[in-house]
Amino acid sequence: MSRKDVNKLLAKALGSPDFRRALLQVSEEKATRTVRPCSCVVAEIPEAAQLRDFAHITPGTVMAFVAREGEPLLRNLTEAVADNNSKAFNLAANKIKQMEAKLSRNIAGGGNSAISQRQPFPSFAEISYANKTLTSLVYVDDVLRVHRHAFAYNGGHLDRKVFSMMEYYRADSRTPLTCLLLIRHPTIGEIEREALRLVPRNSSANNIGAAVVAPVTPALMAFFAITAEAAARFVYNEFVNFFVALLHGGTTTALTSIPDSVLNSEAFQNMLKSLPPEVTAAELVRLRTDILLQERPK
Amino acid sequence: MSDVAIVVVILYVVWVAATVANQFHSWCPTWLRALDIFGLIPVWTFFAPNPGMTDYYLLYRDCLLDGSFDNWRKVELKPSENGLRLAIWNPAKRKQKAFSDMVSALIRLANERKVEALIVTVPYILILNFITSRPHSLGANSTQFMVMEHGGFSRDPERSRVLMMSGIHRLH
Repeated sequence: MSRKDVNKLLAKALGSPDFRRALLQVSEEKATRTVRPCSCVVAEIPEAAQLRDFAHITPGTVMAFVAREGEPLLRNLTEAVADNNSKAFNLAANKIKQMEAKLSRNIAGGGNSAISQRQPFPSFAEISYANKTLTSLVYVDDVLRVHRHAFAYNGGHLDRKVFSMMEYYRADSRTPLTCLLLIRHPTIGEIEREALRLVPRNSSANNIGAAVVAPVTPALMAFFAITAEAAARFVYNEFVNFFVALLHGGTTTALTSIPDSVLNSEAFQNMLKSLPPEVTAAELVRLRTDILLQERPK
Repeated sequence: MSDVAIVVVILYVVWVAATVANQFHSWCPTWLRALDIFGLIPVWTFFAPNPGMTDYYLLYRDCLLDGSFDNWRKVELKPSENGLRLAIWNPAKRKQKAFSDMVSALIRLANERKVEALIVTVPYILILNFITSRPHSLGANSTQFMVMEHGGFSRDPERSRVLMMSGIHRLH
């Protein structure tokens, strides 16, 4: 099955009643299954490590490896990090990648039937940082013995003690899951490091993202470039409109400061309240134009 | 000595005295500067007695869908090269100058105005627009910027401080 066909299959499956039923089934399983806390080992990739070392862990991520306790691959990974042995680490990480590839091939080769065969999965886990769920429904099986999951990390303070993993296990599952979390600091300069230090660390949960780091494909990059360019062009046009409005009907200029009396007025406060949340540059230009045009002498 | 000559001499003496007084920022009376509407009293101190010893940096970070932030990124407009060619041909310096003027104006306004009044100023909107058009993290839907003062080579542990921190703004 080609990649295009897999995408089509997934798009179809995500919108199907079967998928909704499966989600419902998972939530039911989550509500009824017994829960047990799992051990979480947190380690850090040495900051002195070169970019080519531990290449499977991108700078600025926390990578979680989940497996059954006693899994030799997980032990290899832990030892490799402790010994700062990049070669051994890459060897183990490559084996996990091969498992992932095998699982993908199984799904792609089997179509819908392969997906349906995977249910119900034996037990699944939820990884959290403090009160924030980073990911749920992490599972391992015979094909994918070690599951890995990357979380965006900005380099700020993280309290190692508040990482946790809960396993929703089946009654016949004797060996609990375990989690190895590897923190790799982003490559940042002195100024960015100072900025991180200055911003209050009372909410360290904001330093780690629950969203998966999306793969950067050329098509995705092109889409983002076009969107950013369109947004910038829109704001530029707004500025041009603003200048034209002033040239044709105003005696003021764009750099005119808005008088304090206007900024302290109730009308201005009402205008601020009417703004959408997290206002954009274009919306601010429109607001400024409105204020200046209202203020313009007749 | 004629009366006119005396008046001329007195004028020059007053002008010299005002010029001397104007070199000392703490001594110079404010009314003297207020009177100097034509800029006839020169100031030769340039950056003395308090030369700029810090740099300003503009940084931004993106807010991801789950409310977490990615790392701060410094806005760098200077070309990576430092050569003789730049002494002859360096059109990018205008961009740098405009950028540094906008940041300075923003800091000045931030000291004078409340945050809600700051967001409708030209420097704020221009910087926000500039930040919006910078590369952003995949999956980010909003951004935040700050102006930081950094003491450069100073060994003081408190050599940097946040001068202005924006709110969070949507990218689209």
